[in-house]
Amino acid sequence: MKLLEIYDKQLVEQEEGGFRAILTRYLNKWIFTVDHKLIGTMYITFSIFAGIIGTLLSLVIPMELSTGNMLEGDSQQYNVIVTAHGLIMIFFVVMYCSMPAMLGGFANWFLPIMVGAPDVAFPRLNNISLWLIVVSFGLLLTSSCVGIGAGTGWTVYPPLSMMEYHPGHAVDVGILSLHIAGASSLVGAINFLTTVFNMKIAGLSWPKVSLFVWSVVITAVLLVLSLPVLAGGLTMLITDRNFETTFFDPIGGGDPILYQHLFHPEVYILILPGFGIISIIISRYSNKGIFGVKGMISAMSAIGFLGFLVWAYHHMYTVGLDVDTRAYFTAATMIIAIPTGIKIFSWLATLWGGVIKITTPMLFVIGFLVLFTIGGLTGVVLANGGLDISLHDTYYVVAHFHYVLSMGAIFAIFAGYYYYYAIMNSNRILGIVRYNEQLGRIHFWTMFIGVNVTFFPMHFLGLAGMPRRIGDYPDAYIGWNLIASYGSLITAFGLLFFFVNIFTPYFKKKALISKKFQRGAMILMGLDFSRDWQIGFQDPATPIMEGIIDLHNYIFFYLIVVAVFIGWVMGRILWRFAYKWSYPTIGDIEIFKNFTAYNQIIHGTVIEIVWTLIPTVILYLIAIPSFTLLYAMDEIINPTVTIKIIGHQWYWSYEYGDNSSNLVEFDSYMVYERDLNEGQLRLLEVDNSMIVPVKTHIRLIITSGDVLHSWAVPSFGIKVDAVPGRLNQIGLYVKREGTFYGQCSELCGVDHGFMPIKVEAVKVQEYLGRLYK
Amino acid sequence: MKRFFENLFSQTERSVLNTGKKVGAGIAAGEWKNTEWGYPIATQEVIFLAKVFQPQHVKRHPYHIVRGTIAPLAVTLPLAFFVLNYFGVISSKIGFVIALSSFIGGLTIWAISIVFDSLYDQQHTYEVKRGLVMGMMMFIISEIMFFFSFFWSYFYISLSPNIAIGCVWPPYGLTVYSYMGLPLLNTVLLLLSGAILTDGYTILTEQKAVHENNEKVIAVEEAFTNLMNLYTKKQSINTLTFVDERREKFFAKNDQNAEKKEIAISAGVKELRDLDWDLYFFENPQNMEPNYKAPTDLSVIEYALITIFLKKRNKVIKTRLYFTLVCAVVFLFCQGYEYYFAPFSMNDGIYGSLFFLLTGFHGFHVLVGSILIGIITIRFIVGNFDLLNVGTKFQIFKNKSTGFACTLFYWHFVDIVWIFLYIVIYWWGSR
Repeated sequence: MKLLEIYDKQLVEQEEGGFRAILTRYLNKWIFTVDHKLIGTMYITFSIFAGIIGTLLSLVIPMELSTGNMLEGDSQQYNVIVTAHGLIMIFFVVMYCSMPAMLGGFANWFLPIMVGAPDVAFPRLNNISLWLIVVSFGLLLTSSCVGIGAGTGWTVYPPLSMMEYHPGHAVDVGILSLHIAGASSLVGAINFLTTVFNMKIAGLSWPKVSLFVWSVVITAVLLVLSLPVLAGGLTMLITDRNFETTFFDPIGGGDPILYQHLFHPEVYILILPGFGIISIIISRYSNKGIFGVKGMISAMSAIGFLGFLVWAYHHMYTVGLDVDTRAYFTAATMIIAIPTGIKIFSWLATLWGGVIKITTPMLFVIGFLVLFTIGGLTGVVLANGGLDISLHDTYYVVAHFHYVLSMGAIFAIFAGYYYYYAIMNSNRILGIVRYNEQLGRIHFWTMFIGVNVTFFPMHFLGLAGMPRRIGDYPDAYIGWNLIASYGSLITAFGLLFFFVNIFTPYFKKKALISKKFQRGAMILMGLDFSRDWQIGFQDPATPIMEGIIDLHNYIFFYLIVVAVFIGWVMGRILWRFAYKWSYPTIGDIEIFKNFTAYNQIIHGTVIEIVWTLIPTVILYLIAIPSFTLLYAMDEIINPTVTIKIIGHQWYWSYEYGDNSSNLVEFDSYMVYERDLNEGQLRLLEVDNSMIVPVKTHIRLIITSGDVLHSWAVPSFGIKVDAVPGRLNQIGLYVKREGTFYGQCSELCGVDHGFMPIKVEAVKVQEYLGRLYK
Repeated sequence: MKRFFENLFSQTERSVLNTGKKVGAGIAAGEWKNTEWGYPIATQEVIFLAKVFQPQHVKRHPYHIVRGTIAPLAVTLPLAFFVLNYFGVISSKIGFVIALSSFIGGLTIWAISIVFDSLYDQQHTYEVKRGLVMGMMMFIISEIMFFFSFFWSYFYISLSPNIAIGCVWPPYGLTVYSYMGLPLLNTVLLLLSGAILTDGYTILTEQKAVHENNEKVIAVEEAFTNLMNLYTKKQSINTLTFVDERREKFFAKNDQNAEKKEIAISAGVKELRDLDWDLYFFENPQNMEPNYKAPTDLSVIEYALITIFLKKRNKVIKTRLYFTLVCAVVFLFCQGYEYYFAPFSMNDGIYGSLFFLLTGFHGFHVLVGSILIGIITIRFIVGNFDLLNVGTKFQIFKNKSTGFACTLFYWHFVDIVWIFLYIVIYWWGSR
């Protein structure tokens, strides 16, 4: 049986010259092509192109955040850029919905080869999938330029994305672009599934199938099942916008939260093909088989299955779901940590005892392992419904998903690209080409340093309570924001090495002098750690916040233990088993002796059970205090004061209705910079602050007049979404006097960053006196 | 190893240079052999990386490698134009006409090329058909998930109706359809059409059952044999006496399975009675040409007889297809009637929104399904499904009726969604 079979009639047929022949040949080869390899190459090229645009957009964000005034106060422009960056990176680079880099690129190239098929099952559909994604990308870019642009965040939550708050057709064009992208990836997913199930060669049994194929199959199943649901949600959104249906409008009997249920971002789709690529590369460069293949396969299937059951992550704990529902989602989300842990441990066991060659792809894989572990551990933190109240929609979430995507998925893509470089880019003219190893390493290290400098400080910003998607922020946050901005510059600088490396074969050898390039230097700031709002949570003023901080510290103990253990294993592997260019010493001979023994071990039942059970026990230990806190949060004990809080674009209004003969209502606007007095805080000061009595049980009723807002005061441990058509209530018991600040935490339009909350907690007598005068 | 590959690569190039052949068609004379199948077969078992970019026309697998086509691009690019044109970003009437014709033209080219691949190129092997059916199934699963999102919305809203609609479902003060009226008629129509189409498909796939060891088929075959005997003996054929003779002959045999055989024989005889005898006699060469010699080859006669038999069958199937189409059109008309006289509208509240989106998308799928059935009907009339195929276990994959089968699956998907719609919206959601 031949291993490779190639069929290209066009090449044989067209041999005559002339413009017409050249044009026909070009069209047949690149435009009308049905060859899976050419389509794969075009997908990769497209995703690099989209990645350049997405990266350039992402550079605008830290530039704005480093000065706060780069876009000259145009917050809508900032929102549009944030939205476009998210959509492009997720839908057009990584692959959530549409799958350019991973499914379209690598799977198109290698999946048919790995299952022994001559091509994919439906080559014409493969072609239309490519052109649909190109058309969709064009529409998305158009939507950013039409009218006021789509500044809704990539999740396009109503009512902000309704016609009232985003007039014009930018959002419509954007939604239809997502529809087309969805059709493209649906077609691709069906194609790959049929290829694997129908065209797998005889004798290739399922346990023998490559892990990459497994990961693509699981991803494709998830895509087939979840994409149409997303499409349904988007369809309702577009009919709401254009045909005046009322699915998401409470006035007509709908509910904005329904959209959040339907638009459940299947985030695990993003990372699964990455797992496959990582497995292949680890196996190759440690010269060993993957440890525990069956465990890996079942772990991936479990991630897919559980991921489908969990559609409410961090983003829905605050919208007013029932407490039991929140408990279910907490449990289900935390369980996903177990299969993920199995995968990490299996990879480490694969490396253990191998002869590891550290090339550029392997560097990216090791970077992936380290950083994905960090991202996964913060994911366990975010899974806790009680703790997440303080972290939802802050920069902690941003840091988490960039650790998982920007350093997980993107690192996997880079690793795969370097790994398959020679196969994908060799052609008749250039011969067999290889990337430049030195440039690749420089690329890895600059990017590794850059992304860490960018995203690690965001954890601190998130803990301190800085909301995401704001174009300007209170002055206390400037330190970490500046560092993050420098980090993004380092990342962009590192990417330049990648772009140079792409064109390596096109340069002559002389031009390949890369020694002049140097790594970007990390710029350290003098920081004052003693001040508040720099690292860690804000000072607690309520029992709930104290509970949140205690829970966070409690979880952190286990996270540190796990992180230190994995770091130790990783360091030990790299120290002991990395292949070095030197004459063999006695130690090396010992390693080689052991290698023959280690190489035999490709699964171990006992150790696999151990590393399944230990995370389970840890999760149980975390879950007990977590659920206690979650249910404690939901209790409202005999409230003596009831305050109704209504969110508007872009101010808060408060209603004190306890004294029925003397209702107190007032609006609370932000004080602009030019009106500030000495000693007042920029972007946090309001004209009429909310007053609450201390040591009193208070009931807060929160709703909204127009779009989604979120009433968040970090010191109270309260973050409740203001949803039009819903009354969310929460208990408040302030322990000490003082002034507490907060900001709106849900993207609510242009001045999202300019509707602060100021709460003054005073004694009861003073409260009564001040309120009723 | 690296050295080895480089040598290999340079050797190939050198040989190409020496022989003076072009690189694209760089086939060394000894490497490839033409066999009786008309395409070259590789003698080497492994093609190395260096040869990947000197591809040859080699096909040693049952799958279909299609040719590059303009159809996907012609379908895709107009989509962008439609979106931008609808929202007024671009506006051009002639552009719209061009885009629309490109879209429809692309779809037509695509559909026709699939049929041509199947019938003229004979590329649709068992494996290819299996893949097509798998793909269709997955597409239907994704469609089910699409409806799942709307049903989710329906239950989400209706199980906890909010204050704006009076906290009841259906909304307070709204007149909704009774489940016993037009909706019931629609249900009957759609289910009936599904059953009839299935019946038609069953009859169609029995075409190949002529070769199977089926009792009914055996009976018909026996009848044909007798008919041929009569024909060769140049006796006149009296159908009634023929049938009686057969029956008497049958009862004369004292067999154990007498009753069973009786039923089988009478069924076969009934088939024979229904045959188009006039047609047969009209085509009788003796009636047409006086100096005609009777064909001695029995297979010719057998073929003629089977043709008559199939014509009868096809008439039945055609009736089924027409009836299904009529049912679909009546269904759509009833649905349109219901929409036109609806006491609520799409934009006066959540009930109207859900009702019109759910039934509207279902109606759209009915429309698409009836277009598919129309295509199948035309293909049937043209004769795409007439080919006799050797019967096997899996009917779907081994005859040429994959298109019919996929349409049938789609139509049943439409049926099942309608059942859920009827139960949930019209029945459970009525007062």
